Amino acid sequence: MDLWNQLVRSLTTDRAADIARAGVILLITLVVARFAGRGARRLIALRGDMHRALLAKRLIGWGIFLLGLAAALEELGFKLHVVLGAAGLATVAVGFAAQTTLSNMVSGFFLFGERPFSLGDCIEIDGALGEVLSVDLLSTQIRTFDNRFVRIPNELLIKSKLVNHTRFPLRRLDLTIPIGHHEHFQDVRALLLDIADKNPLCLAEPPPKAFITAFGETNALVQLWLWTRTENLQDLRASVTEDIHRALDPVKRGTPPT
Amino acid sequence: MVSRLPHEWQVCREQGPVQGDTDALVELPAGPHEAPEGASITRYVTASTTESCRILPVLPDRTVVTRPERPLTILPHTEVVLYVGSPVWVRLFSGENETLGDLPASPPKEAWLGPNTLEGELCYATRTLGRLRLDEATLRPHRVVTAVSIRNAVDSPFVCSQVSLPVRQLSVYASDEGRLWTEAVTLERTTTTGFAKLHIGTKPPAEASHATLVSGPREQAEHGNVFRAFGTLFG
Repeated sequence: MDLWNQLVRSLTTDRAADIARAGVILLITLVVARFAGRGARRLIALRGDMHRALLAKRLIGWGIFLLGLAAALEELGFKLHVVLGAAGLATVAVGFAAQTTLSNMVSGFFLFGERPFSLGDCIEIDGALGEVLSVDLLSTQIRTFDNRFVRIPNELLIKSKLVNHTRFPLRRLDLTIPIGHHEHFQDVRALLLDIADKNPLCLAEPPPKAFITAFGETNALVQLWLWTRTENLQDLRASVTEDIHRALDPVKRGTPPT
Repeated sequence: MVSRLPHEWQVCREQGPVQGDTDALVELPAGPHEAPEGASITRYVTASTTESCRILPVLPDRTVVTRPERPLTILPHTEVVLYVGSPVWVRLFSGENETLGDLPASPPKEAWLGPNTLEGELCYATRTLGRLRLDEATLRPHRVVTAVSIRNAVDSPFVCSQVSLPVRQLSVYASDEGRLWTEAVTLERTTTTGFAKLHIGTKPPAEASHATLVSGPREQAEHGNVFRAFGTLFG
């Protein structure tokens, strides 16, 4: 009963007004944070940079929310400088415990500035190859081409070698073709360059090249370089290898293998 | 082959057995037919089709880089005219004004035009015999001829291994003999850096003075009619 009376008294005093004000501040803060985050995302996305747009949305949204939270706590009578002072001591302890998390956050900011890749790029790191789905403060998520989800800590992205397969508009396809020593290389080169010329996915410039790179006991290795648009790389590989296999089929050519 | 079906125009395109054929054929079959094996088919679906369709030759949607079969060495203070052929695109219309799309009459090879593989643009690559006399150039209905005047105004020879034509800024004219032309173009080398300025004229050359305009440019030039052509590219 005493507890009930205390509760009723607290709701009918000035304390109630403070609680109401804090609630209103929080509510307004949530709305402003949401719209400001969305607006920042749309503004930056207009430049085609979805990576920065998402990060900006989160930073601005959380930043405004934290400011509003601090204001609401002030209304409720909390002395923030006391809280922060105590938090300073706790931070030292937390810092030791959360080194990895803080490292990932700091790495996230460096990635934001350096931009080694963008959303949708195909990257390869630490044995994982896939399309970038999102870049968050602590990690980057990719989807592998066999549809698996891989989470990569940002710290790993900063300190490891990263390969971006789709950064540039063109890619070169390198194929190694073994030919027997009985084959005339000039005929084989003419055949390979003719295949490249007839393939619509293979660019005329930079021009295709074919040359011998190594000699074995029974065969020589021919290296074929073909340039194509990045998005056509796999299709070119599939079509050219089929054409080469058909063209170099010893049975079809009537030349028995030795 | 262009066919009219209920609510649909069907365009069937077949590449000849040898690239670089001298003919391009547009056929309007009178009755039902089957598409040849290996042909590519494009279907344009509309609410209603008209009894007629129209085709118009236009120039490609990208820059065309033309390489002479053998590079030309233009001596100092010399001017020559080179007749360069560009591939034709066919623009299809349903009736008089409804545009269906553009298709290449003979698809050229794609190429990269730029100082390196990081910067540049996609273009089309063709080859030319580099005729210096019009009567030596074979009449090809699916090619548009550009008379390129190359003027070497410096004291050193100019090796012209390729010319990039900004065909998006060129128009198509038809002469009485059935040849397609663009405006005359002038390539002028005034420095020894290897780059030459390219000026687009306002009408076809004198050889096609009576040619009539068939289709206008895809876009207007933004910075006047001056472009650059490379003497050599990729070494």
